[in-house]
Amino acid sequence: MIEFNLIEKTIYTFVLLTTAGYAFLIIREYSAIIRRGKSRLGRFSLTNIIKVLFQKVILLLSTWKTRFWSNLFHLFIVWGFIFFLIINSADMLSVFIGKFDSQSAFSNIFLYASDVVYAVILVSIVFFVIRRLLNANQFKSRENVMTMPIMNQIIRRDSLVVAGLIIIHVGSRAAAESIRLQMMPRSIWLPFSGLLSTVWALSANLGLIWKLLFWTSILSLLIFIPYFPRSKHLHLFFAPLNFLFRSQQPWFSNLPDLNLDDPQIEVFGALRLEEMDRSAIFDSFACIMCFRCQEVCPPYQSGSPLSPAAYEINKRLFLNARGKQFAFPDFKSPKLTTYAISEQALWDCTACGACVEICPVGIDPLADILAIRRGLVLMEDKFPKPLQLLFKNVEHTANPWGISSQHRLDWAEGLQVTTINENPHPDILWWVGCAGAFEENAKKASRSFAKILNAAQVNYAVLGELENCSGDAVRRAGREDLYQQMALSNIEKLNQVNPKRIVTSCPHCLHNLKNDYRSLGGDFSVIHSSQYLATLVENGTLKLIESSDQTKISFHDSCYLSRFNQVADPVRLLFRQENQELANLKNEASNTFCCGAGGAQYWKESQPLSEPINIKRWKQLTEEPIKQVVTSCPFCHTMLSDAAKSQGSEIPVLDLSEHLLSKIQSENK
Amino acid sequence: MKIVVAVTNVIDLTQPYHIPTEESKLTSYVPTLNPWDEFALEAALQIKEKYGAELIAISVGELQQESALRKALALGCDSALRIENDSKSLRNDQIASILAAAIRKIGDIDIAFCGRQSIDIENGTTASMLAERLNWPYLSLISKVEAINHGIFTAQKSFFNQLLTISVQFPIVVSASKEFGEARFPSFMGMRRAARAVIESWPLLDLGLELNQIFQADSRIEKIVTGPILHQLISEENEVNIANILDQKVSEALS
Amino acid sequence: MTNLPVLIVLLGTDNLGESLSSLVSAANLFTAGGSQTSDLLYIGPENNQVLLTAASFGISRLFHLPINIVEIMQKSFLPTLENFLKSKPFRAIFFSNMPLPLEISAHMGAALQTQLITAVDTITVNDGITTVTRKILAGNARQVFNLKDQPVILTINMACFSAPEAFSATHFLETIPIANDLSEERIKVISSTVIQQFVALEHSRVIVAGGRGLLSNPNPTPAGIPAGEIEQWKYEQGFNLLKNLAEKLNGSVGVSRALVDAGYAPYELQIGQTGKTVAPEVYIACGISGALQHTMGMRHSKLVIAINKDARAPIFEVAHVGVIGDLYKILPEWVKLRK
Repeated sequence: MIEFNLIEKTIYTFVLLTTAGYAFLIIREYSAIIRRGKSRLGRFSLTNIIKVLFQKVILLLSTWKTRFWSNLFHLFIVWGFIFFLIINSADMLSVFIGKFDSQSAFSNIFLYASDVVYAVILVSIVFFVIRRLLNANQFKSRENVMTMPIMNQIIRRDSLVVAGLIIIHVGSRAAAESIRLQMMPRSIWLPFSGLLSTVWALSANLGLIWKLLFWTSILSLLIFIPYFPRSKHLHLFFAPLNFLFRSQQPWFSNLPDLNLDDPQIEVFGALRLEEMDRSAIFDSFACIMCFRCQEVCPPYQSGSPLSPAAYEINKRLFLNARGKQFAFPDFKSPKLTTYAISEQALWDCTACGACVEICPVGIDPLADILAIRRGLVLMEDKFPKPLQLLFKNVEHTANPWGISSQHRLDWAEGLQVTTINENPHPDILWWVGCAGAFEENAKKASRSFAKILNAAQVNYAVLGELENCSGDAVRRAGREDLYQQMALSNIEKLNQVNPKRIVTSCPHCLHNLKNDYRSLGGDFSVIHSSQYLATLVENGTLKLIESSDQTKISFHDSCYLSRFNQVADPVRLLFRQENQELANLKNEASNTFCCGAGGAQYWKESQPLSEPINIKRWKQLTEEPIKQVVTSCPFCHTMLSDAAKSQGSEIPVLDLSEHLLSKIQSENK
Repeated sequence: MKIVVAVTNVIDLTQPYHIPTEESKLTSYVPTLNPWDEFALEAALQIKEKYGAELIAISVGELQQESALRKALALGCDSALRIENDSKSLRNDQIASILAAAIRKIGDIDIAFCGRQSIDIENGTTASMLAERLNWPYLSLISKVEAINHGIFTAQKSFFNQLLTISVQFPIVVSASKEFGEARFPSFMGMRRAARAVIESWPLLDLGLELNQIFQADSRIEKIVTGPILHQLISEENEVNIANILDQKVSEALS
Repeated sequence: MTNLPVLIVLLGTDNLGESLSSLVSAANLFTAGGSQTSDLLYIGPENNQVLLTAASFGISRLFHLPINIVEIMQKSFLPTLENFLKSKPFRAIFFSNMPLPLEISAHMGAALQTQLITAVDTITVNDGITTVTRKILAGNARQVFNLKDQPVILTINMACFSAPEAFSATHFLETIPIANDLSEERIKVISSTVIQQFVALEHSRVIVAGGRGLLSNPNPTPAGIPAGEIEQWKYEQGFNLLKNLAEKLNGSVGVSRALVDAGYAPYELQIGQTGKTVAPEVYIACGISGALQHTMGMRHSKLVIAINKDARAPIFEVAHVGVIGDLYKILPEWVKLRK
């Protein structure tokens, strides 16, 4: 048994208390910082805790979408870290009660396990150091992105400091163990330390060296603690908590409700960090600065100055630098657009949610971007000029195209399409959407869908002139007032109609009617047309002709269908039914790649990007030889048709309804 | 500097409206702020932003006019004033007299801005008549303000085949051309402020004005019904043939 | 019916030939069946052409207020005009419905306490009752005025009154100068620059108008044009095409609001609710979708030809002849035809 003398104990106690005191101050400061945010953090239950612990901490399920090897080594480190919690607790305790040398089987297994852990951690860390040095560009943003000048340095320094710490902490612990091996040989339980222990064979003063190494291991950890809260490694606490606080959210980037009529409220949206929700501040502490979100961000890939990663890191670096001031309730922080995200970047966001989907620590940069847009539009009347036309049209004609409501059914000329007035109790209320009513490509899709419904003899009706824009584009462009105007009028009409089930042609309408409207009193059963078509085929109402040729089709998933609402399977079922093989895409289903239209981009003249998003997507879709591109969103449809035109491609772009119309067996026709 | 901007609601011609047989019964329509008044407001707001000014929106008419005034407030006017009048058939010279009396009563006005014309009745005479009533010079359809200095207003205006820089001493009546730039839209905060603002209203009697009754010819309104007018639709034809057909049509029409 | 003469007021800024003939034609309709004469008041610099034209139209008295063009804009002659009109009773006073004459007529209407009817487009006399009409509500309705004997001021929508027949023999014309009693100019002219002059759209018999469709120019863009200027290039190509055709047809070029708002075309050329209202013999709408904003300004053209790729464009609702096709293919052929 090794014992520690009084001086050692005193110094150790002093360091421990100092560290604990410091940790206490940090926790107080950080909680004050987080409490400056507006709404409370979410609630969670014991089940959530177990779920998060198991899925996000033990298995790290949220990390596996990309970077397999990194994730694997990271997993080792996480497991090692958890194991080290036990080792370190035991070590810290041993200072006071002495280090026992048990010969029990349990102790031996523990020794064996820790020995493996040392090795695995050290190998993993070496992997990460090498990757960091070789792959430096993966961890920074392009020049045109707004970043704090010190960002690149800080991220590198953080990584190296932590790698150094782990090497010292784990290395010295391993070395110490190997000395103990010299003192009391038991090499079968310590295979890796055993290799090391031969180094000590000649050394005389093993006891002293052991103590030095032991103290190095423990004190390195304690000395690191003040550095820890400023580093990205804080994520190891904040990431699980972040998941917990968001665990009750029904879908991501759920925009907070605004009570626009409350005369007490003076701030709408968020121009400054303290005007954000607490979860947004929490996010900046959770960020691991891995740049996965930047990697998948369609605007970033197309050359835009938008990088969700840079935004989150800028927030964090701001808090690192001025957190103490920020913690004071009356401190007014600078506008986010001056240090965290440029206005152009902000307006380039397509609200596709790829960053939220990929984030391994549950951060939602999209919610922030939309909150800042709200702030700019509502508080400062600042937004890209072309959006004015969108706002004006929605305000005056209740649709983005600015065409009078009385033309809402023009697309159905010559077709049997009944309105809700003619058929007040339909099985299905078909929400055609503004695109479906006014946009040329989408009008063709509407006609096809109507023909399919007629062929299947579905008892359906449309709202016709009564339909208003769902409000998606204006909401995501920051005009919450206009959105609420549209939503409330739609909810009122829909409540009168009281539809059994609503089928929308447009994924954006789907998301709004199904999810966003809930907080305004709209609780409807809403599905997308692709889901409904799949039901019709599944229950045998519609029979599809099997495809005869072997050429593949590329199906483009809409973000608001396949990612936000996780509706990707019905369409695949349809293609299977017609025996049609789909092209293999790197980005499909919930991992789809935006067409470039979302987040009101469709209504805004795009900035010149190195490669427009729709063209990027078009190239992905046409990598294999295919005969058609099929999609189920009117906006994706237009964006991809435009891309095809500009690429001089002859491959037709079809809406799912158009495609299926040609596949319906004649008994349906 | 103190500026009044005369604004009014007109019929939103893009929305359905009923056409009666008498002008005074032209009442069932969706009202909207006259687009030409929006240009006048835009010009006045630009002056306010550049030179600083108190902006008063003024309107003559029923309670319904408040929506025009609220929009003016939302855009950035400092206050709004309605001269109460329930008569639906005020002539432009009478409106000009009322505006002139109100402007005198407010006092110290440097500029009275008017829209060029209303888009529904399209007379375009109120500004000239207001200038006559006030005996102020009228600068019509200016395209740019060059300077405002010691009560001298310098502006640009295209006239004949020239771009003139002209100057005139306050007080003046001004109308703005479209070249001031597209009229701005009210901001959300502006609308919020305007929705809560109290709009002052003065009874017509308070102006101590006697409206002169000049002789008016009998008049009525007739609806113009146009059926489908397309005589010929050409498609799927080669360009040379189309050009020939069109050229012949034009020659016939001009002969 | 009184036998007071009618007075035609012609400004030096008016388009002398067309304005005068439209005004005379309107005045002739007004006096038809009666024995009134038409007098002419010309406000502007010495101009022999006015004298000759007026004489050829059978006008017997010409009042001349000799001032220069800029003085018309400064309007310091208004008191002189007011005194003149007060001293001489007229049955009716005719102005053209262009901006400046309209301003002067409004000023006189207020000063003389006389009813003013603007933008008159028809004048008929039936059973001794003179009826004038004007369009309102973007051409969806007309105001009909039955005039009695009281004096009235009318401004004339010139596109609606074609030229009267000229007298073959030269007529004797009495010229009466008006004392040039100008008050001090309150509006001072500091500088002036001559700007590109466009043929006044209101006077054109043929208008070739272009809209957003000009920007869908299928011709390949020459290399070396920066990305930001491609649209500008496309617009210029399209505009030149319209101009070529307009020249061949002796007409002028107009544009829809979209092109003005985008900053490509000058406001002078805009046709529509917030631009100019025109009613030519022939209106050729190329690549114009035909939003109400635009059709308000051209729907009373005698022959409307619409060329648009989109068969559902609302412009076809106001067109007499519709062509579903590409203006960039059709117009060049048409220009060739006229060579």
